[in-house]
Amino acid sequence: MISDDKPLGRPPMLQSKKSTHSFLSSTAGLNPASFLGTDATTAVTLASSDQAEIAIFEEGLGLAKTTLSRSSRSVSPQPSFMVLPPQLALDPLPFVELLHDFVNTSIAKTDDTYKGSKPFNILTETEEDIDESYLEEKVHISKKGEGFTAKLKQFFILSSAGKPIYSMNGDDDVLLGYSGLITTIVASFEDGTDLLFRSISQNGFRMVVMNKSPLILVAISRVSYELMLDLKLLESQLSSVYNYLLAVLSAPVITKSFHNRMNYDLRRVLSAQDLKTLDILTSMLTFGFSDTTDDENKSYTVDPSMFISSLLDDAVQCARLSSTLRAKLDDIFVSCKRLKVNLPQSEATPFLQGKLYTLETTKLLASDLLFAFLIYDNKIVSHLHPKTHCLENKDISTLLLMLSQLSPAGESKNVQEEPDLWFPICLARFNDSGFLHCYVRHLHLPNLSRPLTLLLLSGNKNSFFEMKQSANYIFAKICKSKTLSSSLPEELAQGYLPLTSVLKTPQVKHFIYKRRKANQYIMDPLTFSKDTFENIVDSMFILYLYTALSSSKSEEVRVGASMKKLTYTRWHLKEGFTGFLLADEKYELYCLCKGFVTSLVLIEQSLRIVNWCENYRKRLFIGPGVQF
Amino acid sequence: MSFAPSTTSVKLVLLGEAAVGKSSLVLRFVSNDFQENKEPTIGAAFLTQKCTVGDRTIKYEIWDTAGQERFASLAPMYYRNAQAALVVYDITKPASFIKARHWVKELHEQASKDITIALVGNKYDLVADDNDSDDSLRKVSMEEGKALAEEEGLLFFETSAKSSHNVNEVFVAIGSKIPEAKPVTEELGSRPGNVGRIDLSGPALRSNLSDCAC
Ligand SMILES: Nc1nc2c(ncn2[C@@H]2O[C@H](COP(=O)(O)OP(=O)(O)OP(=O)(O)O)[C@@H](O)[C@H]2O)c(=O)[nH]1
Ligand SMILES: [Mg+2]
Repeated sequence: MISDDKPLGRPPMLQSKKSTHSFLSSTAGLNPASFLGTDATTAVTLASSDQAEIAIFEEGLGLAKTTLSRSSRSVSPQPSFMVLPPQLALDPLPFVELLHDFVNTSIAKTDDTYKGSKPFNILTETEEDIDESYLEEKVHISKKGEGFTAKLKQFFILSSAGKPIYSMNGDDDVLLGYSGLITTIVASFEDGTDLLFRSISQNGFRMVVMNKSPLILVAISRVSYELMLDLKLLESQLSSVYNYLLAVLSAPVITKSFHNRMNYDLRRVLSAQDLKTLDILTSMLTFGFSDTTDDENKSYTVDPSMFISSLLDDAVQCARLSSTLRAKLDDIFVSCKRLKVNLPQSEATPFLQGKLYTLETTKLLASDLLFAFLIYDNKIVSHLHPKTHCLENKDISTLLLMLSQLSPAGESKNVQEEPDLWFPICLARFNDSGFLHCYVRHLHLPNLSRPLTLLLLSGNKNSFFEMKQSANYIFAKICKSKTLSSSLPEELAQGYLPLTSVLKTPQVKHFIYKRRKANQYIMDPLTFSKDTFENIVDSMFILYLYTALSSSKSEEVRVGASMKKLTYTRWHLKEGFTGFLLADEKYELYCLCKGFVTSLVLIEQSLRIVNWCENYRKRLFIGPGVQF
Repeated sequence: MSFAPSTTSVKLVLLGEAAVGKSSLVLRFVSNDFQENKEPTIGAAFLTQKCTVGDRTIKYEIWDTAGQERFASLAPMYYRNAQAALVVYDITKPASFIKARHWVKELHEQASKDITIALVGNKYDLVADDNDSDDSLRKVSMEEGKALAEEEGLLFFETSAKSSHNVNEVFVAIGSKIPEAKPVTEELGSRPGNVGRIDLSGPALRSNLSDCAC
């Protein structure tokens, strides 16, 4: 079995302990008086100086009466999107005070002086240096038998009879042994009980099993940040892998394949391309990068968003767009659904209307269209769905994964010559026994580096030409609209501006903001501009920090009617980092700051982000999308 | 242009084992381009390209299908109404030639009776220099290809999408075998159902395809 005898190094991570809610208990860090004084200017800074007003509520927490006075300072001129309407100054003062109290108490319990950092390995929490050969040995996917046990992450898809179908690493020789062992463990456990085998965990090692007879999916992890969380992360990864398998095969095909022959080799049904996609998926899900090397050039794609999505319960990312533009796009989708076309005489069918037979001479062009997406750079710009059905995020992610495997958009020298694509896909959470048919076409707008991608999902495999006509209509509408053709590229390009600079929160280096109800998130755009190796390590470092933040012990406090969850963490890594999590039933904010920032700055800046995101939620999130 | 030649619309489907070069042939024909590492087609891709054959303009509506086994069951959807088919194999892969035989058989059984089929042995560039040597990469001889074509009444070409050898010739030959049909009257020629109340007069998104150089 794979095991790791090395003792786990203690992460130089300091967690906050439960604070007493006492208002004046903070002793270290900032003196509370310095921000709770009567200095109105300071008070304004607390709750974001850009707010028009700070609402003061005194009920709720039974805190000492505040001496804060309402700000009379006028709002400085700000770009229009920065001005918050008064009702959105939603943080009752007790909450702000409570935040300070919490942070200061947390700081008090940690050692404020930066100790400098020893080399720290984020993958194993040891002091072993991460260099390129280390990644080669422990991280990069390798299909060689040799070196198999050194890998920190393994994924297997096996038949219930123990035959390997897919493995992230290793060759058939090593796999056969492991497969047999795993299926034996699972089978002998489940034989004696009604229980499903779920996992084995021990120090620095975890194996999670998903039994989807006739398949068994297994993830084995020795990656430090994956072990910080409960089983949910690895289980979510396994279900992403399973969802992809279903997307290409569908459940009945898998079942039928095994029906008579338990040793059926599913590998014959999966193509080399599918196995490559599984490699990309498993590597992205674990390490936030994937190997896209072709015969000549070594190349890697670095993108932590797949990992972050599973960390955030499969939340998906939306493209930032003003709600006017989004509404226009939504209208185009809806009007496309209503388009009528003339039926040729031969297809016209008589139908009864009153007592007269009349000829039905038109039909709805897009009657088979079920779901539509406009996608920009893997983010959803606009989405159409039937009133009665929604797609789950898992299915949307699988769809986006599939899309990224199609020929990279815009590779054709002549845009006019790009083909229309038409392929079957099983969106398993929607219906795991049938295929939808997906029409894909790219639209290249002037002044935009990447194309907009239109996806039309139809229930009818013979509806290609109807989807093509619908796409013609949608693209023509977009290009003909003055507003859309000029503002859409502009706004989409703006999505790459760092939000922390737009929001003037310089201390916050990066943040993620999630709306819970829609299960969608935005994050500050990440730019990886160094060499590949450094980018990979940077990306993994971000995964480490966010996982550590979300797994740190949090404190729950009641503010009025809502429960707020707070986490404050510091890491003595590199230059030092501060992490702050603020969540309630509506949102989750994850902030990373460089260095050890003061509670004043931390709270002011994170509340500014929350306020801004809530205020602009219509432009940041698409919600359920538009329905027909 | 002083007088417009009549335009015939031809539905054409490409069939053949995975990785024999179907998409590459289409890319060569449509964009006069080649990619060393073309990714496999998923499902099918639809393209159009005009081509002048004699005094006629032929507008090909091309279905480039995926060779992967799991899409095989969708093939009838694409060849059902096709007037022409390219059955492609890789002259360095004997298995792909066997697969080509199966496709020809299936087309004769299932497709329309008057379909024009071209058998195409692709990747000629790989063997062009060393046709005679013993360790040639060639695994399917030109004679085998010809024999099958004659037996089944097919056009036959050995092509290279990479060097563009014979690529346009295939499409011209097919074009000249296709009988004159009713002229195209609408964008989706062979398809019933005129767009009624839709105003599609926006930017012509893909209508200014240039004639190919054949
Ligand atoms: N040397 C050489 N390579 C070729 C030629 N045509 C295609 N290839 C290469 O063969 C590989 C497969 O080509 P594709 O055009 O994708 O093959 P396909 O038949 O469309 O494959 P599927 O879409 O999977 O059915 C690619 O790497 C091409 O670059 C050719 O004429 N000569
Ligand atoms: Mg292809």
